[in-house]
Amino acid sequence: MGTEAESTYLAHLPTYFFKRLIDKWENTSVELEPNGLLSSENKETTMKFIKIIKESRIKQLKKLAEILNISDVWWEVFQISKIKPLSHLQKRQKTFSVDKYLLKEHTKIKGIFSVRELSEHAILVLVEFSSRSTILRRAFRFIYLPSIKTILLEPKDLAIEILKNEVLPFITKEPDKITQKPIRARLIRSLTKKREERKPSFSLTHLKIRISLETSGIEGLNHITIQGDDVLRGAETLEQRHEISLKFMNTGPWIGAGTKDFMLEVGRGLQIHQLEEKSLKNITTVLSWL
Amino acid sequence: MKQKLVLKLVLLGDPGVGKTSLISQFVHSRFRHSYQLTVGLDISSKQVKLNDGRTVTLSINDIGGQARFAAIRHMFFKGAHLAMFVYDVTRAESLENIKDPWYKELMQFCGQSDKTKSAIQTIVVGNKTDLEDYRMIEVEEGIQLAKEIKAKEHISASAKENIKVDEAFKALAQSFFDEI
Repeated sequence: MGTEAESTYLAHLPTYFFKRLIDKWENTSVELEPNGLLSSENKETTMKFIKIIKESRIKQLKKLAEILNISDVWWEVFQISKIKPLSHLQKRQKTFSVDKYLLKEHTKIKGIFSVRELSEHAILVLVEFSSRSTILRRAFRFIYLPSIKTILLEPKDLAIEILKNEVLPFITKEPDKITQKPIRARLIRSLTKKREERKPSFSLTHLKIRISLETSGIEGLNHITIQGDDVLRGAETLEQRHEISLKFMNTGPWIGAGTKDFMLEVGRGLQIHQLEEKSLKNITTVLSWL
Repeated sequence: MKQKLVLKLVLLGDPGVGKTSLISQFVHSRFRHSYQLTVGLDISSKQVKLNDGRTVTLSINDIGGQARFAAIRHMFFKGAHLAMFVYDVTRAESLENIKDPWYKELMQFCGQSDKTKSAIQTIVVGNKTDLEDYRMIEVEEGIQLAKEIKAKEHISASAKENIKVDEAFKALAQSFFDEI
C-alpha cells in the first residue's frame, strides 16, 4: 500500500481514533477491546498501518493527540440560531491573521483553522496560534453539535472573541445572536427521574446535592455528593434493604449529575470525560433538553 | 365606632421553604440571610388595603414546618380564614408535599361539609425565584397543583428580592371578599 493511500486513510479517521492509535502503539499491554483497533477483526489492518507510519508521522500524530486531549475540560454551552450548511465551515480558509488578538511583537504567529468530524453528531473546530516558541502556541477548541444548534466552548481567554470572529460567521447566519445556555438544576432533575421515566439508557454515576443554609436550613454542609455505578438504583436499594433514611436526596436541589462520559453542574457547565461517539450521542441527547 | 376586620391567615409548607421570610418581608420589609427555624408558632399582623379601598388586618400565623410540630399544628388552624401554601422552587419535593400532608391536614380541620364551597381561601406561592439556576419546578407545575387543590391563585415570588410578596398577601386577602 502506497504512502499516499495511508495518509488518506489516516486523514479520514476521527481525531479520537488518532489518540487511541497512539495509546495502543505506546502501550501494547492495553487489553484488547471487542471491536477495538487491536481486535481480531481490525488487528491486521491496524498493525499494517502502524508498521508503515514513519517516525515523523508518529510525531505529528503525537502532537495532534496532545492538542486534542479533551478529557476533563469544562465546556460552556452556547445556543445558536439559523445555522449555515456545514460546507461553509469546511471551505473556510485554513489560515488567518492573529493581529487583532495579540500584541504587534507577536507577528510571527500564524492562525490555523481546522475542522475534524468527531462523529455524526459532533464536529471539533480547532483554532491554533502556531509559533516556533512553545510559550506562544495556543489552541482553542470548540465542539459544534449541528443537530441541536449548539456549540460547546472551552472557557479560556480570547475564546469568545475567537468564537465570534473565526467560527460563528461560518456556522450561523446571525453570528451576533448567540446565547449562552447555563446548566440549570431543571436539566439535572430530568436526569434523576426514575429509570422507566428517563429517556436515555445510561446510568448516573454522580449526583451532587446542594444543602445550603438558604435553601434547606441545614447548617454546616454545603453539598453532598454520592457516587457509584448507578447512584439512583443504589440509593433506592439502600433505603429499601437497610431502612436507611436518605432524606437529603430530596432536601436541597440537585446541582450536579454525571455519567462515566460527562458531568453537568449548575454554575460550572459541562465536563466531558471522554469523547467517544457513544459519549457524544449521550451528551447531545442531554443537551437537547436545555 | 367602626369595627376592625381581622382575618386569620396561616402559612403552610415544608421546613425552609421561606414562610417566615415571606412574612418578614411583607410585615417588616426585611430579609434575614440566616435561617432560624420557627418553633411552634409566630404571630404577626399587618393592615392591608384592598382594591375597593377598605382596609383589613391580617393576623399572620407562621407555623413551624418541622415534622415534630405536626401533633400540635392543627390547634393553630382553628378559625383561619385564609391559608397560603408555600413551596421552594428549587426543591421538587416541597411542591409534592403541598398536596399531602399540607393541604390534606388543613382540610381535615378546616374543611366544610358542603363540598361545593371551600371554608377557607387558599393560594399557592412558589418562593425563591431569585435562585433561577437552581430552579427545579416549572411555573406550570405550580399552577397545575394550585388548580388541583382549588387554590385561588398561584404566585411566583422571592422573599429575598421582594418580588410579588405584597401581591401574594393582598391577593389572598382580596379572595376572601371575592367569595362573599
